Order: sequence, then C-alpha cells, then structure tokens
Amino acid sequence: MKRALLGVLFLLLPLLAQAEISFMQLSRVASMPDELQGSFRQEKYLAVIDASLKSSGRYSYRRDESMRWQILEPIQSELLMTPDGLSSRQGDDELLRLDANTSPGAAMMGDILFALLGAQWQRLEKYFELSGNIEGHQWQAVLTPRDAIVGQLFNRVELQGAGLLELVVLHEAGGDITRIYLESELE
Amino acid sequence: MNARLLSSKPIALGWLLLVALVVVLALRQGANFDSSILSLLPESGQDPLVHRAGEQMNRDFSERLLVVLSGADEDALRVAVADMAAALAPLAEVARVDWRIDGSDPGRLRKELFPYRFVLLEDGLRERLLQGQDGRLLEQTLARLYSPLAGGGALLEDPFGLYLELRSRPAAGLNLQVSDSLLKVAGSPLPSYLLLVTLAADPFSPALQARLLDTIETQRLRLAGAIDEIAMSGMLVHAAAGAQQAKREISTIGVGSLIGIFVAMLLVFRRLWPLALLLIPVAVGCLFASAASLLIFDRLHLVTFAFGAGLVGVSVDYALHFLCERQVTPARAVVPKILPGLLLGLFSSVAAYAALAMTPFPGLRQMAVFSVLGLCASWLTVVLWLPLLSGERQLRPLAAARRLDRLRQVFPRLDRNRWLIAVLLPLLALACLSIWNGEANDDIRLLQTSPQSLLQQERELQRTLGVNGGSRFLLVTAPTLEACLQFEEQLRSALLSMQRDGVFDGVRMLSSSLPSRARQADNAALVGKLYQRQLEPLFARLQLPPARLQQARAKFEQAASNRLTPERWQQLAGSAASRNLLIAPDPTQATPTQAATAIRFQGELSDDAVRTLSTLAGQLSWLSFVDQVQSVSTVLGKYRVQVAGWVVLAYLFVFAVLLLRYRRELWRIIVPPLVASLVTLAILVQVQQGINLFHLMALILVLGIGLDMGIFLAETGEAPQTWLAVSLSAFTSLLAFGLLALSDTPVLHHFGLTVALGLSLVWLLAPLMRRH
Repeated sequence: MKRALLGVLFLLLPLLAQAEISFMQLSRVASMPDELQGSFRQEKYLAVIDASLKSSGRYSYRRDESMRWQILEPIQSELLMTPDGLSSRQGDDELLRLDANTSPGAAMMGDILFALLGAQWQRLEKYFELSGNIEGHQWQAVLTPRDAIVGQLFNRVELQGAGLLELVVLHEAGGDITRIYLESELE
Repeated sequence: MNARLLSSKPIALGWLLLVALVVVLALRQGANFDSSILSLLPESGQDPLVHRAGEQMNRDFSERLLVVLSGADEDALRVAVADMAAALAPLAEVARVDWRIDGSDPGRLRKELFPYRFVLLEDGLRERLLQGQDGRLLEQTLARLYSPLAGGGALLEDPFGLYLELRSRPAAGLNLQVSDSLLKVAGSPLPSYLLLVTLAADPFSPALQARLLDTIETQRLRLAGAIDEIAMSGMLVHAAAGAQQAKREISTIGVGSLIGIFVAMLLVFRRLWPLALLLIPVAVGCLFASAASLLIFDRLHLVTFAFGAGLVGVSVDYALHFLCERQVTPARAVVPKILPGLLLGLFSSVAAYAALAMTPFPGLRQMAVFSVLGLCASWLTVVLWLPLLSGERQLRPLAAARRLDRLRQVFPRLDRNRWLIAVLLPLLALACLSIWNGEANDDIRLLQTSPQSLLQQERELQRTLGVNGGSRFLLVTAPTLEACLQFEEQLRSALLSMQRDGVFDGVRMLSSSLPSRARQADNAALVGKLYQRQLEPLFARLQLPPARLQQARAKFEQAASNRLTPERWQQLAGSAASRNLLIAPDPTQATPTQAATAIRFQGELSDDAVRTLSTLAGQLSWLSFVDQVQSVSTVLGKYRVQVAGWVVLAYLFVFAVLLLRYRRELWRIIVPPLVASLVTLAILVQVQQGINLFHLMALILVLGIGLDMGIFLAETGEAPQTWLAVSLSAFTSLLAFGLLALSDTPVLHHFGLTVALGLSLVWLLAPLMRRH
C-alpha cells in the first residue's frame, strides 16, 4: 500500500513541475549571455483582416542596456528598446520616441518587450505570473499578466527555447497574435 | 436711566436668565470654529463670475487631502499604501480614497474616446498634418505594424494609429504614473505613492481633523518600517495647524497673562473675592458674545474670537472702576455715583466698534457684532450683578491707591509747563510726519496662520505632483462655450511657447481635451486629406485586397462626423480631472448669457510669470488673469482705508458728544489716547514693514481704554481710587493683549505690539493732563 502511494506521488511529480516552476528555476536553464545577436522572423496575425504581416531582420542585445531591433524586410526601420522606453527610427529620421516622461504606459511597453525578447526573468516577474515546464535544457514558459494594465497590452505570452530563447508568442487582447522566431549567432 | 431700577434683584435675575438662554441655545447648535482666510473675504466687490471661478478652483484644495507616502523599500511601501487606504476608507469623514486603478478603469478610459479619434488630434500629430508630412506618417505606420509593438488590431478602424498617438499623450493633471495599479509619483527621489482622500465634510471641523490626522499618524507609527516620510497637501492640514497654534498660544500666552493679572489683583486688593468679581463680567461678556455670535453667524472665525475677546477686554474697565469705587463707597451707592462715567465709556467704545460693522468686510462685521455684544453684556453684568455680589463689607481705602496717587504727583502737569509743551509738540509733529511718509503693508500672508515648514512642504508637494493651489489662473470669457474654446485654441501656441521658454512648468486647458466644434471639423478635414493621399499606398504596401481599402474608408466616413459635445465630454470617465476648468454657469440665470473656462498652471508661478501672463491678459478683452492672492491683499488695503475712515468718523462723533458734557476740559480726556495712538503708529511705521488693518484694530482698543480712563477720571474728580482703577485696567489689558506681541501668528503679533506700545503711552500721558 505504502509502495503504491509512493508510486502515485512519483507519477504526479512531472505534473507538479509543470505548474509550479519558478522564475528562479527558469533563469538557471534559460539564461541569456551578456551580449547576443542574431536574426529574427516575425509573423503578426491581425484578426481584423484575417491575414499575417511578415517581417524579418537582425537583432543585437546587451544585458540591462538595450535591444536593437533592425527590421530589414519588407521595410527598413529600427526599434531601440531600453528599460526606460523605446524609440523607432528610419535612417536618421526618428519616427517615434516613447519614454517615461511623455508616456508612462508606453515606457512600460518598452520595458516589457525588452524583458521578453531578452528573456530577463527577474524583470518579467514584476509583470507576470509564470507557469510552464523544463525538460533538460528545453523549456517552455507561459506568462499571464499580474494586473489589468499589462493585460491591456498582452493577455498571454508564450516563450520557449533550448537554453537560449527561440520563440516568443505575444497574444494581444484583441485576438492578434505575434510570433517571433529568434536565431542566435554565438561566437 | 433710573439708578434704583438698575439695582433691583428681578432685573439682575432676568439678565442671568437671558445669558443662560443664549448659551444653552448656542450649545445646542454646537460650536463651530472657522480658520479659513477665504471666509474673511468680502462677499461683494468682485465680479461674480471671477468669484465663482475662484471658488471652483479652490474647491479641489479644500475638499481633498493629498497624502504622499515615501519609503526606500518599495515593496514594503506598496503594502503600507494599501494599509493606509484600508484604514482611511471606512471613516465616516472620508467620502472616498483613490489609491489604485481598478482593472476596469483603464479599459474604459481607453475605449471611451475611440469614436472621436479623427476629431481629437494630438498636438504634434496635427502639426505634422498641417505641414503635410503625410509620407512620414505612412512610414511610421509601417514601422509600427512590422514591429513587435502591440496595437495593429485597429488596422481598418484607424490604420494610421491616430488614436494611439492621442493615448500616448501624458494625462493632464497630476505627475503620476500607474505602477502595478498604484499611483506612483513621477520624478521623486524616494519611491513615493499617492493617496487622494476626498473629504465627506468641512475640512475646518475639529472632529474631522482629529479623526483623519490621528488615523494617519497611527498608521505612520504602525508602518514606521515601510514609510520614511509622509507629505500632505490640502486645506485640512492648514486648518488643523492653525487650530493647533491657536490652542498652543492660548495655553502659553493666555496662561501667562492670567497669572500676571491674578498676582497684580491679589497685591492690590489682598483678597480673592474682588478678583472673581473682576473676572465675572469679562467672562460673561465673552461667553454671551460667543454664544450670540454663533447663533447669528452659524460659525465663528478664530480671528474674530481672538480679536473680539480682546476688544471685550475693555470691559475690565467697568468692573475695576466699580471695585475701586466700592472701597470708598457703600455697595448700593456705587452704581449711582459712577453711572454717568460708565455710560459714556460704553458709548464711546460701542460707537467705535459699531463703525467696524459699516465696512463690507464679513470678518470685520463679525468682530464688530461680537465686540458690541460682549461689551454690552459685560457692562450690564457690572451694573446689575456687582452691587449684589460685592456684599456689605466695611469700607477701607486701598493702600495701593494712596501709593499710586503719590506716584502720579511726581509727573509734571501740562497746564503749567511750557517746557513740556515745547517737547511734546515737535514730537507730535515728527510722529505725524512719520505716519504721512509711512507705507502700508496689506500682504495676505499676514492672515496666514500656517507655519513656514508646512507652507514649504505644501509648495514642494505641489511642485512634484504638478498641481497648484488654484489661486492664480487665466479666465476666458465669451458668450458661448464654443467661443471660449476657440479663444483658448488661439492662445494655445503662445502659451506652449511660453512653457518651452520656462515661464511656467505646464498648462492645463479645457480645449486640449474638448476642442471647439470648429477645431474638431478642421481635424476631421485634415485626416480626410491624409486618407485621400496615403490610405491606398499604405494598403498596397501591406498587400491587402481592395475590399479592405473600402472597409477602412467606410469606417472613416462613419466616424469622421462624430463630434465630442460638451455634454458627452462631461460624462467621460477621463474628463474628471479637467472638469473644474469649465466654470459652472450662473445658477440664478435660467439661460446662461456668458460662458467661461479657466486655464490653470502647474507648479507655483514666479513673479515673472505673473507679469507675463498679466500683460498677455491685458492685451485681450476676453482674457483676464485672476490672482486671488493679490486680490485679497488689495481687499485688505481697501478695508484698511475704510476702517480708518469709519473709526475717525466714529471718534469725531464721540468727541462731539463728550464736548457737550466736558466743554473746555475735553482736551484732558482726548489728548492722551490721541497722542498715544499717533506716536504708536509712527513707531510702528518705522519698526515694522508697514501699517495694516490689524494695527488699526488694536488702536481702537487703545483709544477705547484711553477714553475710558479720561472719562472716569473726569467724572470722579481724579480721585485716587479712580486712578488706581484705570491704571489697573491699563495694566491688565497690557498683560492680556500686549503679550500677544509674542505670538507667531503675524496678525496677533501686530495686534499685541500695538496694544503694548499704545497702552503704555496712554498711561504715561494721562497724569500730565490732571487738573490738580
């Protein structure tokens, strides 16, 4: 009897692990180097036109500093995300600048995207609840917003990778889904 | 008046019943004290529209209490904010506590303006459209759609993201950001969070002050680990500080002067009973005056109480006159003997105080009523009760009277002394010259009872939060609201360039959240042009089928004719913070013929900014710069002049009446108070920054006591017991009110200093005038 009970407990363990992983555990498996660069592919599905807008380009990441997001196809434009906000430029022309002074909400968006694309778990813990699972160095995480303000932007975010982050899926409140595939170039 | 009638017991009993009745009635109504500067201001004399606007701007400040908690440990602090809100919200004195944004709120705020996305354009966006930067807008839209940024969902309803631009504009009002649902103060050194407490009742209610401030203090002690600092802003804090200071000063200065008076009386009369007899009329006077004033005015201003009690203090004259005379005259014979003097004394003081009631200054009127009632009540108490209370003791002249009389003989007499006249006349001329050249100081800060530290805290908090007390603003007036909004839009670029030049920190205008109909139509036309030129290229670059283009065009046609009306705007959740910029129409008019909007500024305006804005307002007929601080100072100045005028008239009248009785001897009565007043004024002009209303109020007291002194002395042929009585009276008033010179409240300080100087001079001058 005792043995059987123990067996059931062991069977349950993986399930428990899926529900109860912590940001701390995740950061051990899915850690990012201090600097990273690579290429990305993005598919933004817009529910209202039932079609996807596809783009691709290159990114370069510096821990705690910035994420430079260079779109090369089908347009050329650059997005710079930092913990304080984000700005967008095309050549020398600054198209957009959002920082904490002009727009606290947009600054938060910058902070969240920076944290998501850089898989910075400590930063993300401020905004999201975590569930998911870890198998070897394969991992999967589902983030749900802690409060309604963040919920206005994304109602769910999925991240997965093998060691490094490979896929980000942003579920927007309006039904739009953005998938971003990342491919890193390790030196 | 029949002296025998006055000494009858039924009348004395009737007076006792009347006093008791009034006090009981007042107690049933409840004592209500007020320390608001604003309630001292005149009801009339200001344009009613400006007055309404001013009141509306002040309402925020008086109805709300801003509490900012700061602490180094942000997580602990956030818990403390919730705790504090939980402690404040259930209080009956609190209508609501805003400290977090509920889940439903941002969604509602986000959606409610969406139908107006083509007519409410963000400033910078409108500028770009006016300059024809359509192509750039197209690139910007593409960059956004191909980026990970959210917000592509409105591709058909709002492809160019005009609404996103509108949303990204910082919210008007407070320098706040929403951090994890809580209201975080932007740009403060320590993490700081705001709680916005809306009061359910009058901030001047002592019970409300105690409940609220005690609760906050208890929480502060309980959460000391998390909260490093609490800063508060709101009328309540100042009202409480004012009440606190008044209490403290009454208990120190008040107790000090009482002890002094007590010792002096004991030394002179060597018994306790006369002291009680002395205090009874003054106490009855103050009690009756407070009770009756509360019944008449509903609430008593603290300043009224302080001054009124001071002026009623003149009545100590009557009691002292009675007591000193009683030492040499049987109880029943005292009142008949001194009645003419008492009557003339009462008449001269009442005439002077009644003159205050002629001014249109509500505060002064209240003081006048308080003082006249108090004086009459004290006088009646002396005349009706003291003969019954003073008993049938044997007569014994006081030793003090003899000694003081001998001292008086040392003084030279003006009658015989040309040298004295030769000294006094140039002195008088010099005094007049000093007064003539002197300046007045009517700064409103005289009325400010709040300590400097509190004012500093208020200023700092207002600066970090970007709010402003609402005492200075621009007022736009026009026949219709639409016209007001159009005027504001004309002004907008000038104000924004002033802001860029650093004239002020920020500006809040109604037209930025509610543009005029004309501007809304203009915006829709601008967007229409954008659609004509750039919608097709955009959809082509996105490779969307023509059907989508038609859909987007249809959505535009649908929404471009939407207009945000003032009625609709007032129902929006997002307009709450700006609603007070719309001045409510005159409630007495069925169909308003005039509309007005206020333009408010963030932070404190510098003198330069005030000048620039006044100049701007001076050039435009529909614009005025309202400076409530300045207008109060102007009012104070106006009433200083009026008070001076009325009091001079009152005294000319009093002198005329006295002239009938004293003929050629009148100068002996009026010279000491007159010269003392002039010299006091001359000294004050030199040592203080200028003469204000409150110096004049104190001079009325000096004149009152000085005239009583002369009248009583003349009536009793300068008897030693009368000289003792009037000397004691001057001395006690000096202790009671001269000590106010030590007060921290500017008003009371000025009052006290004037009384101290004036009464000393009166007492020194009086012996010079004696006949024998």
